[in-house]
Amino acid sequence: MSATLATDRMAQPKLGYFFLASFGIHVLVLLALILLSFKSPRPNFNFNVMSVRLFNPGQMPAGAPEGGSRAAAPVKIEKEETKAKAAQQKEDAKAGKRSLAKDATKEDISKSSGTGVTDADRKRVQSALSEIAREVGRSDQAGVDGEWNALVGGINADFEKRAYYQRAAVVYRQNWIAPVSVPQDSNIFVRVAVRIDIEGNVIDYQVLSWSQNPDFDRSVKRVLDIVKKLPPPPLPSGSRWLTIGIEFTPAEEE
Amino acid sequence: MMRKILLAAILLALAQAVFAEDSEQNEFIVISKAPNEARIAIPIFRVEFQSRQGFDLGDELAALLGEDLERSGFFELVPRPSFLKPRAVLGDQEDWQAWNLLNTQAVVRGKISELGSDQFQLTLKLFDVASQNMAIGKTYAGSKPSLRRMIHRFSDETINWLTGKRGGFESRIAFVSNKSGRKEIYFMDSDGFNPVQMTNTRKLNLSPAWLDGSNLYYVGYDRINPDLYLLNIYSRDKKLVSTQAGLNISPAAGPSGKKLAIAMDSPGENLDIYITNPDGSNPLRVTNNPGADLEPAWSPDGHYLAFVSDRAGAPQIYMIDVWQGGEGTGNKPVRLTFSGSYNTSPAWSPDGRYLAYCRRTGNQFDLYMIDFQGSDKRAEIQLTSTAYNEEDPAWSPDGRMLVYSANRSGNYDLFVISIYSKEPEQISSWPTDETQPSWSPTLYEKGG
Repeated sequence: MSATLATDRMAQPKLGYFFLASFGIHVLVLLALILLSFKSPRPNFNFNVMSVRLFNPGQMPAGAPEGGSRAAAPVKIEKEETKAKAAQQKEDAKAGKRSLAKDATKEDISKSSGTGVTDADRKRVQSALSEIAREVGRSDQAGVDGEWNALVGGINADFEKRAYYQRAAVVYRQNWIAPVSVPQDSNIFVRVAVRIDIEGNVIDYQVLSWSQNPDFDRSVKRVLDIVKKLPPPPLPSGSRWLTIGIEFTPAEEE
Repeated sequence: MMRKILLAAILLALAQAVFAEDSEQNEFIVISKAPNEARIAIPIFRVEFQSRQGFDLGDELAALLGEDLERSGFFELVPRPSFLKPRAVLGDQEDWQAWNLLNTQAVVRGKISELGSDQFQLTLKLFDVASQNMAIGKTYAGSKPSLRRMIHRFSDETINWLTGKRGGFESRIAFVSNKSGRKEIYFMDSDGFNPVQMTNTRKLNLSPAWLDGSNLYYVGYDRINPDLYLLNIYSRDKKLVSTQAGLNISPAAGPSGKKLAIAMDSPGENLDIYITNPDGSNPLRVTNNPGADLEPAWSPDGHYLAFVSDRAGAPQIYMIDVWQGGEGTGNKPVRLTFSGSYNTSPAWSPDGRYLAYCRRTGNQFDLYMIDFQGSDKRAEIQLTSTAYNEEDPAWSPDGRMLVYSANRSGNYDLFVISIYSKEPEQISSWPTDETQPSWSPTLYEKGG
């Protein structure tokens, strides 16, 4: 009897610890759920680098990408296309063909189907890419480039979001004039966060870091002031705006 | 123990979930673009008075604006034949889509009207195609000869729109020419128009150097001895500044015109650099060396002087910190040029970044620059490389162009070169020698 009581007395603190731990876990889970569901009204500027590198529409050949699908590492695309391929694409364009530039592109998609991409995803991508092809440039080649660029680059975002980034980048790039006084071979960049509402209106922007090159900084400031409207972004239901991070950097002569 | 592990695992999973969302939602689009000339369209300006000459004026002034902007290296002109609207001269309502199709970033519209006898009004508007707004709108009024200056001023404004810093076209270039048979001082507009002879002494006149937009120093042999003069280009009054027996040469006005650096023969010795007041008073010796020191050039902050010295045997460029005192007090100059056996004519850019100079390679001279702010410290940039001599570089007031003399056509003419495009353009074409150019400050700032 006394032994049983003693055991019960010893068990009581353990039970208390168990309830305490259980309570703590529940509180943590609740906090986490609140954090996850809570959308901050201020843009979060803790960005990683997304690997979409946009080349000049109309000049960027539909060559194979060097990079894979690594996140947070810019992918470089080599200009490898031969004149014969370019000529072939022009012929295709004349014939009204607006298919993807290379079969390899399609192969990438089909390969990815084995890793969870459904037919619905594929259709969504094709739809988004077709839209890019219409908007990216004036030439068929430019459209093809846009399609190709949208597919490459290891980004974590889904295809639709990625396609949207591409379209937004095209708008900024078209309106950006980097003057000749900016050194081409420097590693300077300007990083900004731009907030876009559901209709594509640019609500505001914030410069996260300047390059310290006055001419370069001014050219970026100018394009940020000019671009007021972007295509409507793909927003999850309930979201009122999308914040995108943009890094402007000078390139070698094209 | 198991519970602790379980708890840690849950916390880890929660943390991952929180951070995973950040990394998925927050990414940068990298937009990479090569710096390039902005494409600008300049349709013929509208002329609102009746005369054949009036139409030519609209064409001439539009062309002048285009020449300025192309020479700057910042702009590329959209060829007029490619304009999609035949009534380009008249269009009040811009067709933005058409300009976009031509990959045009800016359009300038101009209108010239007659106010009275030889009085004109010039209205110029620059439209930003991307924003579809007027970015600059200016109206100028004046006589016909001043129309060119209005265009130069608008060119400077246009460069300011693109870069945030005015251009330097509304300025003048002084130079030496032997057109009259003797070397005399002249000046002209920054594009080579409106040359004016300033001296007519029938003696030797050399080394013009602007003090401000109205006054310039030069070396004259009026009294046999090479003395230093200060000449007002409007009143043509001149006064002696330095008359020490022996050489008084290589004048260089310091920043804000508060000091003057010149090379003078030290008594009983050779040529040294001195700093004086603008009127030549209170000379302080800067260099003190058995070699000949000359051609001083101020850094824009007045902290340093670059100069040429043959102390090492051949002419090379050195630099001295004048705030530390003269060389005689132990303040040793630093040698800047080591490549080439003959480097002369240093000229410091107004922003202090570059030092332009002239180097002899074999039997010919070329222009170079030292880049003090480049990734490679003191990197040397070659600006010209021809079979001819390119000498006497002098900076434009905005620090984006250099004027220099070159003997491409047998005799020496003046050329300007953008440090960005590196494409030279000839601005004088007399059959005589035009040398030793000096670029004035902008007249806009100096009220010249």
